[in-house]
Amino acid sequence: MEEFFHNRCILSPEEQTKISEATIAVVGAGGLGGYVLNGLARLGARHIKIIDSDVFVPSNLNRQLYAYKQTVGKSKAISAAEALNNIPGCVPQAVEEELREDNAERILTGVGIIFDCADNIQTKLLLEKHCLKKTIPLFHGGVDRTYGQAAFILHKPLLAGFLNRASATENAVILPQLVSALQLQLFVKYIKNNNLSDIICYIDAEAMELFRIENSDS
Amino acid sequence: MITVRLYGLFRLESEKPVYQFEPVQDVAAVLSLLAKESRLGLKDWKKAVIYVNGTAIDKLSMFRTQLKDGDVLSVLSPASGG
Repeated sequence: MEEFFHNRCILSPEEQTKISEATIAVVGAGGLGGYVLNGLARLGARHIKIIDSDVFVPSNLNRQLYAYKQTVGKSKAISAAEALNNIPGCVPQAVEEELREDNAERILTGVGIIFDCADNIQTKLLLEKHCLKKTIPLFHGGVDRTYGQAAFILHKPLLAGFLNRASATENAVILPQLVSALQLQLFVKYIKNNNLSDIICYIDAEAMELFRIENSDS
Repeated sequence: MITVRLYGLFRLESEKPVYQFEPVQDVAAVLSLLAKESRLGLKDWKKAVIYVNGTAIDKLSMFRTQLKDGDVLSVLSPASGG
């Protein structure tokens, strides 16, 4: 498709097809999720399930891509789906539900790739558990103030031992963009190499440093 | 010298991004020095994710991990927001 012609600088035609045929769930359509959804659609993803039970509130306007004056009070999942409908080929599906232990199986049925853009530890841990059990690649993101991490998790648990040392979070616009870009880059790496090992990247924007760290649980 | 590089919350809440100390026995001793020289307490420092020359102390001997001259500690905090 002409719309995705310039993706050839990072994707072969076969890889582009893999993306367009994948069924992808993005959990959380706020700070990280907004940018991840935008990136996925522009990478040529077509089948995207957007899972978020929240509505936009005025305090989201400082950082969340689909938060506008006119979407305040509106469902985040539906607002994101409406935006993605404008990208050729994209068939977003909004799921206005909170992902929980008792509905994860149903909501995530048929999904082959999951992005963790959730804003709470409980959902992140639930996603890790689900993905490891079902051998589904998980592209995790976590942000706080000036730092965060993105991870590709498929083989070994990371989050249970890592996030228990996280503190309360507050975010501006920069880190969600940086970490969502890392999540998308990990996704592209996985599309290019299905034998990819688990990876964790840590970014500290204040230090201007980005580095890989090892999974201490492995 | 032992070099301690801070990231995340520790970088934001400490007076300096990098600390250097004369060689001490182990990671616990470094954390005590950090507590002494910064506004953060030992309890805060013990919550950090710590690497010695890139290896997580969870894989070594945790706070009893032995140190030598030239070692570099990376001390960071994970992020859980979305």
